[in-house]
Amino acid sequence: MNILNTVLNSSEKKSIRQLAPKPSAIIPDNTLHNRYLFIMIILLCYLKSIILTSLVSMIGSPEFSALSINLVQIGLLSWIFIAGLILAIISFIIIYGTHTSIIYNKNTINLLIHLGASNSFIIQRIVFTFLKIGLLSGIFGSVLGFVTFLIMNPFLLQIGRLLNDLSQIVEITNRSSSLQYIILLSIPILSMSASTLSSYLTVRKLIRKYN
Amino acid sequence: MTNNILALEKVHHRYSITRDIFNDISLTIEEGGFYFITGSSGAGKTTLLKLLSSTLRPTGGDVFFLGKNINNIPQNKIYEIKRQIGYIFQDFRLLPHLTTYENVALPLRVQNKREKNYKSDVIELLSWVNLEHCVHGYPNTLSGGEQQRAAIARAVISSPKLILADEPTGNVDNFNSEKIMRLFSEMNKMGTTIVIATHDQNLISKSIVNRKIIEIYNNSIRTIEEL
Repeated sequence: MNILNTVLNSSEKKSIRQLAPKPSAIIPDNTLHNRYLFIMIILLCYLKSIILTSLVSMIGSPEFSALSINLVQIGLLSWIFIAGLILAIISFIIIYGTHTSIIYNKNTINLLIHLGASNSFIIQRIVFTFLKIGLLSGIFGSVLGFVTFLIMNPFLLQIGRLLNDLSQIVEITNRSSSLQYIILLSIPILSMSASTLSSYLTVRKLIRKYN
Repeated sequence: MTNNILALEKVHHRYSITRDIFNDISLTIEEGGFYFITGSSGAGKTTLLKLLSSTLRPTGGDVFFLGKNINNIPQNKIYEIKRQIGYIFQDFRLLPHLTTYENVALPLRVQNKREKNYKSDVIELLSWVNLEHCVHGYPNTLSGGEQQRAAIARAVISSPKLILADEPTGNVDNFNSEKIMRLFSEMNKMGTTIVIATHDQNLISKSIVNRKIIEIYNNSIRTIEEL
């Protein structure tokens, strides 16, 4: 056991931490507000990953028949629609988050401009915060989705088999799993890209008001 | 022969149709000079400082910094001018989430300078302003005088050509006020141009030889004294 923890009271521990602080971000990124955004985007990425992987599982690997082609087409359209919808929601959340972050850090931004910070310096700091949120929440959402997928996959295959048995056309295989892994891997990248782009466009527009 | 670091030419500024602050004022700030801006409360001392620091663009007239017309500099390039000016705010404006060291080093950080290149300079400056004991302290743990000295250290760390100070002794006692004025005097002797906005006549009378006083009255200004 660390002897300091037993001997020092909390205020003394705090003052010792202050003697060796870790380098701080100029524009604070660990705000309560950003944590809420982070959790919301994790949930969205999680939702996206389980919906998309489930969809792929349920469609399976269809033979070329009228019914299965329709199924694939509907599945593909749903895939694009859901992926687009969730990305749009993430982008709107990030736009809102960037607005709030700029308002919350108004005094800091004003001071930085007074001290000679360029627009790109401020844009980089704010966008990097949302890039991190997008990437990390995408990774967390994907990992949670992967765990759910491992648990749910046998049931989904059963549902898929049942659906396809009814049509008596389609044979279910596990070949779709590689696509599911690609989906899981692409979620952090898509989430990060959507967050970075939305944040960049928002902050670039808003920063002009501070000059 | 003296060079002008800053010049206002027929500057007009208004906040609204009914409220003119300055009517066609002209002013020159010489390099290495020590200036006081005085005037009653609400006369426009802070506005004049903002015009001088290019934080505010005048509604009419020209502002020249080292011969360059600030009106001709695009908004996204104005930071190049601001990096040559140290600004001391009346309310200090230290960032509460940064340590004293980080606050003082901020102007260098925004210029993307590497910490290893400036760390010793910041520590040295902090000890010069007697703040070596609170290098890692946060602003809320500092007294008013200490915060003021930290704000001054932040203004001078990047060796600006010009220092603009808005009521720099407004929040400190007489002892600290004199100490701050001694700091300004030392910086001025090293060649830095100092412009201080204050309504404290005592501060003006007890400090600095070769000072110039710019008085704001009736939306206009005049340089009234040179001692």
